[in-house]
Amino acid sequence: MIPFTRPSMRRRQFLSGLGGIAVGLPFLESFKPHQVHAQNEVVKRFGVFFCCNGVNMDVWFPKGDYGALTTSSLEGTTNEALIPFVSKLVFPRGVHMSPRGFGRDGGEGDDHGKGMAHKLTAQFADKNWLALGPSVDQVIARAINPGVDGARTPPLTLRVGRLGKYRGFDYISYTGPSQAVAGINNPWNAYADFMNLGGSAETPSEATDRVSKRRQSVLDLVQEQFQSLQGMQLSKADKDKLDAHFTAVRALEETLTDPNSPVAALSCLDDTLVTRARAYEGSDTVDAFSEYPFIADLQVDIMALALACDATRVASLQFGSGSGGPIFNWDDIKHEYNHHKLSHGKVRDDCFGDSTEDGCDNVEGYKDMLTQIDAWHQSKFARLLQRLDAYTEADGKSVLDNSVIMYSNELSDGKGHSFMNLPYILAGSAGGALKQGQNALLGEGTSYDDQEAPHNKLLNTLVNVMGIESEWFGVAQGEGGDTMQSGMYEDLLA
Amino acid sequence: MATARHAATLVLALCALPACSGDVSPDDERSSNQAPTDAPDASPGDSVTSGGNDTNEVVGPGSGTNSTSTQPEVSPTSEPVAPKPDVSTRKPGEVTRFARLTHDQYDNTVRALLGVSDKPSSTFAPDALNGFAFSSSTDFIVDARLAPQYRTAAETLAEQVTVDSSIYERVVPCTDETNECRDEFISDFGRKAFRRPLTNEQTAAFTTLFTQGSDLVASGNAFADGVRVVVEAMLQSPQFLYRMELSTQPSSEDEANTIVLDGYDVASRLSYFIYNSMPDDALFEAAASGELGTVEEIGEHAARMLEDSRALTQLISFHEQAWTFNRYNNIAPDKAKFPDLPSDLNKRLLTASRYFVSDVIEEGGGLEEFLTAPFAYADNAIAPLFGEAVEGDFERIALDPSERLGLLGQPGFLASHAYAQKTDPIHRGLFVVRELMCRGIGEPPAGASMAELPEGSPVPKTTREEIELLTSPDSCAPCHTLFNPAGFAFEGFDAVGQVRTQENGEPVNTSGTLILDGAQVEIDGAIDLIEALANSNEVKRCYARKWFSFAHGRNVTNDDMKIVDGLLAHKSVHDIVTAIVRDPSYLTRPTAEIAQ
Repeated sequence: MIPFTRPSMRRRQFLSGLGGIAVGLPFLESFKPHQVHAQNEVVKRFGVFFCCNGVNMDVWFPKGDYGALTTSSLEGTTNEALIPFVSKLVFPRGVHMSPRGFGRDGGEGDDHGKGMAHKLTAQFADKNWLALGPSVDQVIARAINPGVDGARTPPLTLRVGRLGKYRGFDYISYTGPSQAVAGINNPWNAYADFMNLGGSAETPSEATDRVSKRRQSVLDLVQEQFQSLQGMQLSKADKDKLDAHFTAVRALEETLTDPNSPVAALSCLDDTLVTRARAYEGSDTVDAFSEYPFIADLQVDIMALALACDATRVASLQFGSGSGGPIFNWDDIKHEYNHHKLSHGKVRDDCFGDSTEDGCDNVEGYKDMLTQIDAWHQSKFARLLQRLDAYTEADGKSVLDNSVIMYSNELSDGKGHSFMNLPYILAGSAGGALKQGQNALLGEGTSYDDQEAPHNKLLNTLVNVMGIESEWFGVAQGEGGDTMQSGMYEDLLA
Repeated sequence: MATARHAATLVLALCALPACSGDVSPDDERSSNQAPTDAPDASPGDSVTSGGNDTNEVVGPGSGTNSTSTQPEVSPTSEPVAPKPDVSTRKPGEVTRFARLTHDQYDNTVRALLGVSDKPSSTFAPDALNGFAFSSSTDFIVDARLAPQYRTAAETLAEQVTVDSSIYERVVPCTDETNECRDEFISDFGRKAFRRPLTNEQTAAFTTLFTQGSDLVASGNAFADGVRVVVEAMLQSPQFLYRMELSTQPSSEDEANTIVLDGYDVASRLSYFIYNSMPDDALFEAAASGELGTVEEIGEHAARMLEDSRALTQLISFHEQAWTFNRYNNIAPDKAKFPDLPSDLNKRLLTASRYFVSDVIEEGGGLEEFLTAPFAYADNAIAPLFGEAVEGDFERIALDPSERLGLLGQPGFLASHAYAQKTDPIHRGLFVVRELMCRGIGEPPAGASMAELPEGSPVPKTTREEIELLTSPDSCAPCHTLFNPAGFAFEGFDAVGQVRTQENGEPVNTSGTLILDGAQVEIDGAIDLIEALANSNEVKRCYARKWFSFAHGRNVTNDDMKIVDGLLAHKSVHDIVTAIVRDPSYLTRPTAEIAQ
């Protein structure tokens, strides 16, 4: 009989399933923040840092004239934490959502629902407020992520806070019409996820070879099982379903057999990060507000590492959800009301406008509280940029330089559910494709009829700077209201 | 109705918009995020709000995608609106032959197969429900995120089999480590994991893999290594991960429009519907001996299975999803106005409702009892809401049938459709119309939630007066007259479900006109409404539709309406479940989905 070991060994063994090695043992290297890419190719990355419920518009934007962005532009603003990166930032100004909010371009959803569904897709929403087309992160990943066409690694989709439900309120990323991708809110799962997504575990040991061999043998058999089904008469929908699965299984094989995939010389294994993330293994408290700040830091670090070690070239991180969000009660912030209530300056979620009837009391000083929340988010954005900037690539540039990380928000002024003059930041030049250090005026007006700078054109610009030729992004041309535009914002291009 | 009406900030922007009043965003989840810390979302898919697509006609300004039209398509009350189903004819492929296990089903299946207590799905990428109302959706896919997670889970579980003797002994039916034992293991475990006997090709392939085990794992125990790699591979095979319907035998009776399902396909259908898990031994035995070929045989198994605790869990889960118990998360009454209520009121009310639903099911009740049973559950903290006293833990209490009946007369429903201080007749009414009548009501026009009282309005004295004023404009009334009256019927209960006769010193007005079964019905008060609903065919049909949808994991189409209508004759929950599985179509699948 087998010499049985105690079942409690299992916990420890879990990670051996990830990269074929037992993480945490001394022979493992922790990652070294230098020399990411062996080859001389520039690998571009795209990231989305997404916040909800709008910002305090009074103090969020750079000060002074449009044009060059300087340290003093950010001093005293909510974005002070970004000063170290001022030369690597662009603030695209005056951008409005398109299709628009308040039902002005039709489509389903309330203002929060539209803000969430439209923001990365520029698509209308269905009756469950789910976007009717793919989001920019998915579109870009399909073209540039590691893997072969049709079987590329999906983007990493992370969130901080509660998981979404069945409606569009809670999602930003979409693979196709009404197909939301639920973000992963447990950092341990997120880390495990991208370790599986192709992050290479560099342990040239006999054990690893055997694991690869075992996996290959198992995969061969699993693929045989798929093939035995392909002779069946199937509906197209079922064929597509099986094909998608088979493709995903084949992608597992790619990572086994292609020594150059992924191209990173940087290990995706980071002992410290593993230890920190592991605290959430099997955790049922990942949606507790008390964990929010810790999970935020972890998700930021995981996103940075995943991009740097080339586990994925596209990632998004979403904080909270439209019309929700935590009660901020950490890091010297002591709030009594959740983010959504404060965005309206009210003590209740169902208050709108200025009336104080029916328990809709005002929260004194709510704007300062919003500034605190915004500044806290921006400190996490700064943390992400700092991490990405610390990795140097073979071309001498940092990972941040070769990336573009977009700060985006569901709304601009949360109190009025405004979709005009949206807060955007682009960090990194995408390998020199974007201008840097700019406070760039793209549209003037803030009236609800303003048509100058639709956000679908910004998304299209980003698709292009990531190396994918595109004339148009979002709802089919001519069907998305009168504010959408084709082409790129030339002012943003280097 | 706490929505403020004086939206000074955006009046300019909104003046061009039609003003429909009232915050009628359905299933409003705004406050669901406000619990201070840990109102836990259960595992993905657990807390699904109903709504989804499974509704009859959809009316309302937001019903047309991409439409800027704000005029509802129905006239106010000029004539009764008969429910005209928007169900479509089934498209080929709409009924899948490959329903991926839901995450809950994966956990339950692995638990039944291996005897482990883990929930491996806690590490899986969550499924987005994408609009379907029930967690039993058959639309889930395996994408590039999930495939490697399935691999990791399979590897972890396979290793567990060889390190935990109790699991090993369950999986390997013999101890002598001979070739016969190997063959027995592959055949036995394979049949359970794939939920049908292995083909000769499969047996040969897994046997080959088994023999490679010692090389691939090299633990020093070749037999255990073989077991491990075989388990690892089977748990990643599509035959395990999907509920596959592999039968191909055309029916001889209906010009071959259908395929007759074999016993194994039927066993899985039954089992995942009633247990939300893999077939048990009795089902496997019946499948093997060809005893699942008639509706009588299936009915017998269903009757047996319905006595199992797994079935009760599943039946309760259906009602929680169908009737949007996830709204209970939002219950947060104003502390100043209701100082004596416990801070975990929402959890207690959920428990009370679950006990009620469970009792109705176990006592052989059905829709009528859910609506009219004169009892409820209460503990010491919530009993005062009924004007009762209970010591300590939950007890069953009798209701005064002249005041309260059934689920709609209980604080759980009433408080989960209320604001912190005031009642919410709009959402109470919407619940009745949407969830009990399956009528689709579209979204309110943009900006509705910020509308003000019409110019020159008198100061409203009661919640009802306020809502009637707010929803009186032409852009609001056509829809609101369809559901406001159902909500007003509950005005005899306050925001936490206590009986009241007055509000702000004014007598409450609970009368109104409702369109039910195509006729205008005068009602006055909750009991009146509840009794009308309990006698309504429209309500019975809606309940049956939801059952069909839940059972099959997809929306109802025109082709299914005959079956749905057939369910109306069945009263108890057990009878409805039995009727669903005893429908002759449960033994077949349409040919159209196969040949293309």
